[in-house]
Amino acid sequence: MGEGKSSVIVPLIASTLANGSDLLRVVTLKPLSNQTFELLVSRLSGLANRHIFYVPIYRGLRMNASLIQTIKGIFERCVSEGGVLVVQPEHILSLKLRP
Amino acid sequence: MLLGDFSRRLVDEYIHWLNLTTGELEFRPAGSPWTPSPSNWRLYIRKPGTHPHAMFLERSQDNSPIRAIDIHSDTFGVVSGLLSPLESPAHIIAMHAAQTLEISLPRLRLSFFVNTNLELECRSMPGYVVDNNQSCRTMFGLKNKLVLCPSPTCSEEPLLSRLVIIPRGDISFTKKGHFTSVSINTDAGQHVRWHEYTIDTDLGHLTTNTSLGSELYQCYLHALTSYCLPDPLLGHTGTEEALCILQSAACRSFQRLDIQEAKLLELISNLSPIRVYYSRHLQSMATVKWNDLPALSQHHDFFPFVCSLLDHARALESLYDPPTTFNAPNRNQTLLNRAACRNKIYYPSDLHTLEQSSSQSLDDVKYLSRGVSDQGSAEHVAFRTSWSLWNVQPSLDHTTPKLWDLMKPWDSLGPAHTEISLHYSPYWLEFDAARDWFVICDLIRKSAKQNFRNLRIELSFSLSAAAYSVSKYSNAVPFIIIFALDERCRNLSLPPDHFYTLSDGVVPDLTRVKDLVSKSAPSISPAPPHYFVRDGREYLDIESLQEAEKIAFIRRESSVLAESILHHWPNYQFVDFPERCFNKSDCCRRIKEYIQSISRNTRLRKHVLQLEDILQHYENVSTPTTMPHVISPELVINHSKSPSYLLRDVFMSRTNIPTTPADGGPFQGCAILPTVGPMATESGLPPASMASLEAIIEELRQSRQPLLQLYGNDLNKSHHEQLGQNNSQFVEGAIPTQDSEFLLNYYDECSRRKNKSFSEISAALSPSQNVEEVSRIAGLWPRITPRSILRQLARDRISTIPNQWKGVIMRFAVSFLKYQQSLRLLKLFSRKKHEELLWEIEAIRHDVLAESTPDWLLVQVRVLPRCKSSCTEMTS
Repeated sequence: MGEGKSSVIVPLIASTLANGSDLLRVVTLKPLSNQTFELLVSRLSGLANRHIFYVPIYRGLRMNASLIQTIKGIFERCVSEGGVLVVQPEHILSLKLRP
Repeated sequence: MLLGDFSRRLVDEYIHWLNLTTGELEFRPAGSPWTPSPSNWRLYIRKPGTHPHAMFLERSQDNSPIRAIDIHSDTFGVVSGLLSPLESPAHIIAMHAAQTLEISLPRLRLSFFVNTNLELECRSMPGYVVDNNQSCRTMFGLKNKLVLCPSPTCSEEPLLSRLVIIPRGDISFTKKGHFTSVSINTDAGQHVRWHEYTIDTDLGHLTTNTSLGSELYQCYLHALTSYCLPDPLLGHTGTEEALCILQSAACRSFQRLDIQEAKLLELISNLSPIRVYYSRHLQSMATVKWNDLPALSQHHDFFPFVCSLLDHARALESLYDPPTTFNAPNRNQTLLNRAACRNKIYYPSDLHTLEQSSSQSLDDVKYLSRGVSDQGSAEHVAFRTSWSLWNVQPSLDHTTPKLWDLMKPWDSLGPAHTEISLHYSPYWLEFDAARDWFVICDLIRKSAKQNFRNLRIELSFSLSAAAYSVSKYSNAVPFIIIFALDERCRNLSLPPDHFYTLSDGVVPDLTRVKDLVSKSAPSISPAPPHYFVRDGREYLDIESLQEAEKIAFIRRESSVLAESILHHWPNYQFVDFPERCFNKSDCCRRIKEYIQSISRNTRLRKHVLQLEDILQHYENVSTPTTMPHVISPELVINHSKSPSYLLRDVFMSRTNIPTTPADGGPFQGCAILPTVGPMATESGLPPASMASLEAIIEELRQSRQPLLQLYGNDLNKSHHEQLGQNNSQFVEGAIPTQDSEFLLNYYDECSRRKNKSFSEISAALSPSQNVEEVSRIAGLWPRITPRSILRQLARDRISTIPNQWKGVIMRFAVSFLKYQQSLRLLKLFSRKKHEELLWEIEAIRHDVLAESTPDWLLVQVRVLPRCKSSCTEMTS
C-alpha cells in the first residue's frame, strides 16, 4: 500500500492504452471510485489533456432509445478522445443485464 | 451599543450578560446563553460608564489571559489593513496571548500571528507569511486576494511556491481606464469559503488541486482581469488562460455538475456579449449588449464553450434519477458565428477551435467600398486625391481655370485661421482656401523640409477630405497638391502680406475710385423724401427737392474728381479737391488704402504667375481603375494571402531547430552523489550476531510445533523489518551534511539546462520577419511558453508537429523533469527524509527519455514539485 499502484501504474497504463481506438476502462471498487476518479483527473487531465469519464449505470436505470444513444455517444467520445472511463464492477454487470 | 467597538461575531453570535455589581460583561455563546464559563470572553469595566479603562479578556485552556486588541487601536488598524483583501475589519478579531499577537478571521476559519521576524504568519498554513509583494503577476485588478510566501526563516523557503488566497463571494467588476477592477463581496455569508492557488512560476500559471468549482472560479477571474497585453506569469492574456481552462480536459472531467459550478459557468458564458437582431423580422441590424469590460475580454467563445460543457453535463445527468436540469440561455447562432468570424482576427489563431477555422462562408451582407465608385463622385475625387499624393503623380485638368482666375472670385485672401494643422481633422471638411491659403502653403513647406513622406501621408487624408467635401474651394485642392509635391513651387518665396482684397484688382478702376470718393462726401440725410399730393398727383416737397439736387451734384463732382485722380494716378495728391463737397483727408486716406491694396494684389499676382508658369506643365493623369473592394467576413476567413500563425504552422516553417541536446552530458552533481548500493549489503549488527540470529530463526521456523513455527515466522518478519530500519539509520549517516552543496549544484545545473533549452526553442520560434514581428506586437503570434510547448506532446497534438521538433520538445520535457527532481531532492534533504532521498537519487540515473512516452512525460511534469515524486514511486 502507498507504493504507487493507483497513482503511478494506473495512470501510466491508462495513458498508454487509451490510444484512440480502444475504450479504456479503469475498474475500481465503489468506495475507491471517487478517489480514483480525482486521482486520474489530477494526473492525466493536465498537460496530457486526457478526458476522464464516469458513466454510472445502475439496475434501476430505465433504458430507452435516447438514453442508449447518449451512453453510446459518451463511449464513442471516450474512445476518440483517448479518454479514460472509470467504472465500478456493478456498472459493468448492470449494463450487461439490461434487457 | 456594542456594535462598532467589537467584532461583529462577538456581537451577533454571543449573548451579553452584565453583572452590575462587579461591572463585568460576559460574552456567552448563543448556543449556551444560560451557562457561565470562566473561559468566556469578559469585559472588565473598571469604572462603570467609562470606556477607556475597559479590559476585554478570555481565559485560554491553560488559564492564561487572552486580551483582545481594541479595534480602534493603531495595532488593529495595521493588522486589519494587511488582511483587508480577505476580510473586512468588522469581522477580524485581534488578540494578545502569551506575548504573541494573534489575529483570527472566524468567517474564513483562518488565523495568523505575528512571528519573531515581525511577519504575519498563517497558522493554517505553517511556514507561510503574508507577502510584502501582493502581486501574483496575473489577475491584475482583483482587489480581494492575499498572497502568502514562504517565511524567510523556513528552511525550504527558496523551494516553495507562493500561494494566493481568494475568497468566494459575489463578484462585481467595473472598467477603470484600460483595466478592470474586480471586487468580491463576502458580506452576506456567515462563513466564507476561499480557494487556495499555488503560483507556479515554472510552468507559468496558478494551480489548484481541489475541485472543478475552484478551476471555474479561477477561469472567471482570469477572464475578468484580462488585459490586452500578456500577463507576466501566464505568458498570455487572462482571456486566453480562461479559454484554455474551459477547453481543458480537467474542466470537462467531472462526475456531476453542482449548482455552484453551473452558476459559475453561467457567469462565464455571459462574458460573451448578447447579440440580437435589432429588428427581428428584418434581420438586417444587430444590437450588442456589452459588459462593462474591455472589448477584448468579451470573447465570443465563452458562450459556446460553456454550452458544450453543459451539454456534457446534461448527458451525464440523464443517468441519474432525478436528473438536475441546467438551463442555458438561447442565443442567435447566426449572430454568434458572425461575431466569431469577425472577431477572431483580434486573437491568436491557436485559440480557435478546428471547427471554426474551417467554418463555411457566412450568409452575410457584402459591402462594396465607396473608394472607387462612379467617376466624378465625391468618393472618386477623394480616392484620386489620395492616389496622386501617395504616388507623387499630381494631375491638373485643362478645363480647370488658371490659379489667378480661380482666386479672383474669392474677393479676399487671408487672414488665416491660427490653429491649422495638416493632420486630418473635421476642419478639412470645411476647408476654406481663401482664408488659409498662405498658412497651408507655409505648413506644407515646413513639413516637406522635415519629412516629405509624412507630409504625403498627412495630406492623403486631409486633402482627400477637402476634395470630398465639395465645398466652393475644393477646386483649389489640385493646386495645393502640386504645391506640396513640386519642389519648385515650394521654393518660391511667398509674398510678405497675409491679407489681400482681391476685389480691388491689380489696376485702378474708375467705378471703384468714384465710389471711394463719394464715400468721403458729407453725409446725405438718410431721411426719406417727403411727398405731397395735389390734383391727384404726387409732388416732392421743397426740402426733398434740394436734397435730390445735392446728391446729383455730388455724383457729378465725384465723377469729375475720380477721373482727375485716375488721370494723375498714382499721384492723387496733386488733384484739386473741391473742399466744399469732399472731406479731403478722408478721401486721401481711402485712395491711399486702395493704392496699397492694388500694389499688394500686384505682388500676389506676380507670385501666382510664377506658380502658373510651373503649373502649365502639368496635365491630367488618369488614376488607375480598380475593382471596388468587397468588405465581407469571408475575406478574413478565406484570404489566401493571409498568413497563418498557428503554432503547428510555425513549427513546420522553422528549420533552425535547436540541435544541442538539453540532456546531453552527465551532470556534475550526479556523478558525486552517493549510490544506494552499499545500503543493501551492510547491516547495523556485527556479522557473527547476525548469523546466530538467523540460525535461531531458521530453527524455530523448522520446528514441528505450530506455535514455535508461527513464532519463528514472526521473528523472521521482525528481523527483516529491523534490517530495514538499520538501513534507514545507515542512510541517515551516509548523507553527510555537506551533500546539500552537491544537491544545490545539481539544482543549479538542472535549472540552467531547462532555461537554456527553453530559450533555444523560444528563439527558434520567435518572429523572424517584419510581418511576423508586427503580428507579435499585435498579440497574434503564437504564445511561446513552457506550457504551450509541452502541451504539443499531448496525444491530440503530437501528430501535428514535425519529428525533429518532437525530439526537441521531449528533451525540453526531460530537462524540466530533471529540474523538478532536483527541487524534490533539496526538499527531501531539508526534511531529512533520507531514505526517499536515496530513492530519488537512484531515479536520477534512469534514462527518462528512453523510458517515457510523450504522454507519460507530461503526466510527470504536471505533478507539482511539492507532491511526492512519481519517479520515486516508480522506482519503489
